[in-house]
Amino acid sequence: MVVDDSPTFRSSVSFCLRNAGYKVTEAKDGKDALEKLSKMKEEGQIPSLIVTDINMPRMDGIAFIKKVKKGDFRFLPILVLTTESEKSMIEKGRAAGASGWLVKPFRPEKFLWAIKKLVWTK
Amino acid sequence: MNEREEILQIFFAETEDLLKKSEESLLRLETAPGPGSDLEELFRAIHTLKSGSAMVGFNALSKYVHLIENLLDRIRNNQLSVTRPLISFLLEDVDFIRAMVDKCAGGEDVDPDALDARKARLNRFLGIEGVSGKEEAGPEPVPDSAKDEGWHYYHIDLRFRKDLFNFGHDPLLLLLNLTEIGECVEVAADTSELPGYKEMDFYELYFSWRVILKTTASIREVEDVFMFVRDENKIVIEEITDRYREGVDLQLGEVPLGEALVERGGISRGDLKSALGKQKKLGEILIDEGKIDKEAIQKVISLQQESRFTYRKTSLRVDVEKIDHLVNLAEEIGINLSRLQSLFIREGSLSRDEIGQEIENLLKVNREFQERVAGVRMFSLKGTFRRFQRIVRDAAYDQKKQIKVILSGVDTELDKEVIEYIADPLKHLVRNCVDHGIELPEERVAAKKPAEGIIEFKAYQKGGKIFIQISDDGRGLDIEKIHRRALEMGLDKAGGELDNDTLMEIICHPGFSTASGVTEVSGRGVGMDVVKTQVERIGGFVRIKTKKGKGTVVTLIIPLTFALTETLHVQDQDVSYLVPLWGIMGVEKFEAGRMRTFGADEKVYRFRGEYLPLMSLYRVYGTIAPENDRTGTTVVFLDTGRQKFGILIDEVLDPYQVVVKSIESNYKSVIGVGGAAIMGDGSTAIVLDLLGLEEIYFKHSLPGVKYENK
Repeated sequence: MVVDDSPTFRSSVSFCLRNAGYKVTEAKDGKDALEKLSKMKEEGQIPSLIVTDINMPRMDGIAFIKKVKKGDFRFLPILVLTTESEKSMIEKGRAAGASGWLVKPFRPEKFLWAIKKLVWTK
Repeated sequence: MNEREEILQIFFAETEDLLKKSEESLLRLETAPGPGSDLEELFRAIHTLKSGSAMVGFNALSKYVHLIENLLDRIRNNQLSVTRPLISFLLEDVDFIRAMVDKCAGGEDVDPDALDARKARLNRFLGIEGVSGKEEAGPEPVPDSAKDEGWHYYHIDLRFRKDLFNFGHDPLLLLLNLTEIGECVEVAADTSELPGYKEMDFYELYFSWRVILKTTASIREVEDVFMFVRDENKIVIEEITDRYREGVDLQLGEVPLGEALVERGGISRGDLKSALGKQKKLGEILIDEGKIDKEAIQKVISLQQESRFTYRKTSLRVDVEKIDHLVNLAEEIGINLSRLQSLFIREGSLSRDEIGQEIENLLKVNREFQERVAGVRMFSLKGTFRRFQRIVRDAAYDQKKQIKVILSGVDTELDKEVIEYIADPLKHLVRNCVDHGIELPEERVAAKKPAEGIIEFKAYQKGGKIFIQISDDGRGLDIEKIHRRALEMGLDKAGGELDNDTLMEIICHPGFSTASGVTEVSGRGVGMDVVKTQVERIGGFVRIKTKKGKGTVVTLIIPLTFALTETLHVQDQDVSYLVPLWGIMGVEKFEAGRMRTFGADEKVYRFRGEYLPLMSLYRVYGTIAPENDRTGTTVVFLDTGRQKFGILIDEVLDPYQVVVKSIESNYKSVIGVGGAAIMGDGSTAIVLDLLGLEEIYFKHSLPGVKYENK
C-alpha cells in the first residue's frame, strides 16, 4: 500500500512496485489509508508492506503509523518516505514503529533495494 | 501512452494545481505577511513540487525549487520578513516555474542563462550576495573506491531486540539478504534464551545469530543490509579476512576453549564466567593437596612466560606468498649467473659493455632479492590492531561503555620483532583508553559529547620512523592533579607550566604510577613506565598530548627496524664507542669543579642541580688506563629510564646511523656491550648497551674490569 498526498509521487512509487510484480493499493493520506486497510481486512487481504509519506493533510504519517501499530496489521513492515528537510522525522517515525525510511527523492533501484530488506520477494 | 508518459501527465496536472495554490497563498500572504497557515500551505506546495519534479527526473527544476523552499523556510523561522518585492518575486517565480515545466513537457532543456540569472536574484533575497547560480554540490554517494576484487570474510554477530517483529522486521529475511551478497560459510544460532513453551511469547524473538560471510562486497555493503536495524539492535560486523583463510579461522587455535565456545558454541559470556568460577586452577588444586608450594609454581609460570616470549620473538610465521617470491628471485639470480657463465665460456672476447649489461641485470635482481628478504621480517599492523579492536569491544561491553574503533594505516609494515616488543605496551595503552579515557555514556552526554566514544588507532611512516598513535576523545588527563602530585614527590623541579614532555616524564616515572592515589583518580599512569622503557629499548620514544575533557593522544615513534640504530660516535682512549641516541640527555664539557669523589674512586658529577654517578669508559671496558690518570674532556649524560648517570670520554664525534652486528652470535654475550658496528672508514666501534652499563654500575661495585658473562 502506498500512502502519499502527491499524485506524482504515488503513481511513480506504484509504478515501480507494479513493475516489480506487486499489487498496489494507493491512499492519499493517513485517514484514507486506514479506511482502505480495514476494507482489505474485511475482504481477507493482507498487504505485505506499507509505504508512507510523513507530511500529509488530514492525518499525517506518524499518526497513521501509530494507528497501524495498534491494530491487526501491527507486524507489517512500514517504510517511511521523508524529505531532506524532514530528516528529524526519521526518529519520530522509528519511535512510532516504522521499519525503515528513505529520503525523497530516490531512484527506483534504491527503493527496491530498501524494500528487499522488508518484504519477501516473489 | 506508456507508463512514464502517464506519470508525467499526472505530474503536470499536479504541478499546475500546486502552482495555482501557491499563487493564491502568495496573494493572501501579501495582505497578512508572516508565518501562518498561508505560509505553511505555500511551503507544502513548494515542497511537494520539489520532490515530485526530482522523482520524474527534472533535476534542474527540483534544485531551483529547493532554493525557494530554503527561502520560505527562513520566513517561517522569522529570519526573513515578507516584503512587497519578495512577494512579487515569488509570484514571478510561479510563472517562471510554470514556463520551466512547459519546456520540460516539450522535451526541451531549461535555458541555463535564464536559470542562473533567476538564481542570482533569489540568492540576493537569501542574503547570499555575489554567489553565482552554481548550486552547491550535493552529497552524491561516493562510490566504493577501495573495493578490491578479493574475497573478504566478515564475522557478523546479530543480537536483535526481542520486539523486533513489532517493527515489521524479519531476521530470516535479513539473513537471506546476506546470502545474496555472498556465501554464509558458517551460521550458528544461539537458542539459549529460548524459554519453555509456557513462558514463550510467540511475538518475541529469542534467537541470536553468528554468521561468517564470504563475499567480495565491502564492509559498507554488508552494513547496508542491516541499515534499518543497526541503531536499535546489537549488530557487530568485523572483518576477519586475515585470520580466516581457506575456510579455517587461523586464530581459533590460539583462543582458549572458553572463548571459542562463546564465539562459536553459542554459550554466553555469563555462562562462561560462572563455569570458570566453579573451576579451580590446577596450581591451586596441587597446593591444596600439598604436592607443591606457591613459589615453585610461580617460578615455572615465569619460566613459561619467558619461553613463550622468546619463542614469539625468535620464530616467524611467514606468508607462503612471500617465500614463493623469494624462491622465484633466487632462481632468477641463478639463471642470470649461469647465463653470465656460459657467455664467458662460449665467447672468449666479450666487450666491457656486454659484461656490464649482464652485471647490471644481476645487481637489479639482487637488489630486489635483498629488499624482499628484509620484507620477510616485516609484518603489517593489521593483526595487532584488529586484536585491539576486539579488546576494546569486549572491555567496552563489560563496562557498559559505547566505543567506536577507527583503524587507519593498518597496512603499515613493521619488523616482526618490533611488533612483539610494542604489542604489550600498546595493549596497555588501549586498556587505559577504555578503562580511564572514555567516559560512561551518561557522563559523555552530560559533557555534551556523543554517547559513543571514539578510540582511533593510526599508523604511518614518516622519515624512516613509524608513528603509532592511539587517541581517544575521552576525559583526558587531569594535569593539575598530576602536577600537584609531581611537586609533592619532587619530580617537577622547574615548577611552572607543565609542557607535554615534562608530563610524559612525570607519568612515566616508575614510582609515580603505582603508589599515588592521584593517578588512580586521573586514571592514567599505571604502568606507563613500562611502556616507555619497552619502547625505548627498541630505540623509540613516546609522546603524549592531552586536553582535559577532550581526550588524549599517545604516539609511539619507533624505528622501522632494529637493524638501524641512531647513535652518537664518541672516542675515549682512542677507542670508538657508539652511544645509542635514545638514552642521551645531554653532552657537556668536563669541569673538574663539578665533580666530587667519594671513598677510593666513586665519582659523582653535578648535572642540572643533581649529582649523578660518573663512570669512565676505559674502566668499564678495561681498555688501557690513561697515563698520569688523565681524565676525559667531555661528559655524556645518560638516562635509561630507571637511572641517570654520566660517562666521561675524550671526544664527541658525529651522530651515526649504524647497522648493529650482534656479538652474541659470533662470540658470546657481554654485558654492557650491545654489539659492534663497522664505521665508514672500515674501523670497528663498540655499541654501548646502556641498560647493561646501568646494571654494571648499580649492581656491581666499580672499579674493576667488568667482563661479565650472562
